[in-house]
Amino acid sequence: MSDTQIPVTSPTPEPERVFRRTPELEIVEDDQALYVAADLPGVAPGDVEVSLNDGVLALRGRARQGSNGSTIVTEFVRQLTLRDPARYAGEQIDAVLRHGVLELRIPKHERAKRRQIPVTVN
Amino acid sequence: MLVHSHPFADFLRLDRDLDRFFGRGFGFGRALPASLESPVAVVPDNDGVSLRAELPGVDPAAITLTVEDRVLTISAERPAPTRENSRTRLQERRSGTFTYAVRLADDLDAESISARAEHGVLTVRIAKRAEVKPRQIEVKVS
Repeated sequence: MSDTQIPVTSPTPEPERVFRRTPELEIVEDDQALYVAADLPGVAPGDVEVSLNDGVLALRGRARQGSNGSTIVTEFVRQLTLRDPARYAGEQIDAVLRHGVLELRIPKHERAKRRQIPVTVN
Repeated sequence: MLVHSHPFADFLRLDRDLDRFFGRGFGFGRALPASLESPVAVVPDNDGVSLRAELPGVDPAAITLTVEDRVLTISAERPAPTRENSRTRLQERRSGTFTYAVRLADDLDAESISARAEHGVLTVRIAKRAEVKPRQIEVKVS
């Protein structure tokens, strides 16, 4: 091992411009779950955050675009308040990012699912 | 440095003419008011032009690019969602056909077009014809 000190220089920060956008959503519900789809063009799978706290569903995605030495960051941010949040199993959210669309499946608790009650004829 | 001018004003004017020709306008099957920004960004540089189109949810295999008579046409289809026995609570996302057409300026090479789709963004690169690229001309000393 050498004792030579390697000078540490802080990298020159690349000029970065951040634009905030509200992603377009689609929300569909069936007996099993709530499905939320958000358009996040340019966002890579590692750059998405989804959280559900106290009935507030928060989505955040960052898309980076470099051009001629400067970086343009588009930050997609959206929050939704779920009506009757106790109906949903927030710890079981499935999230998939496909072709720039975030697809969430928020399952309903068993007791919140609509049940068909068979009618028996005596 | 040599300053090279090229007819981008022309490029964009023809673009708008074609938009009227197609009638439907930009966007997923929805006529947008002319004041709205085009969903296709056109970024020129010294070596050519890059087009960037946001097509979230479109499978790259469902994107078609054609060049005919120096008109580049991008078409894509985003099918309407179908989910049985469900109730739609909110629908802001657009579906349908997307068409964008642009006439290539004279200094662009219609044979040198490449396209890449990633994370719902289509990037098309059109290079300038080699003979019109800005170049440094050496000054000889006699």
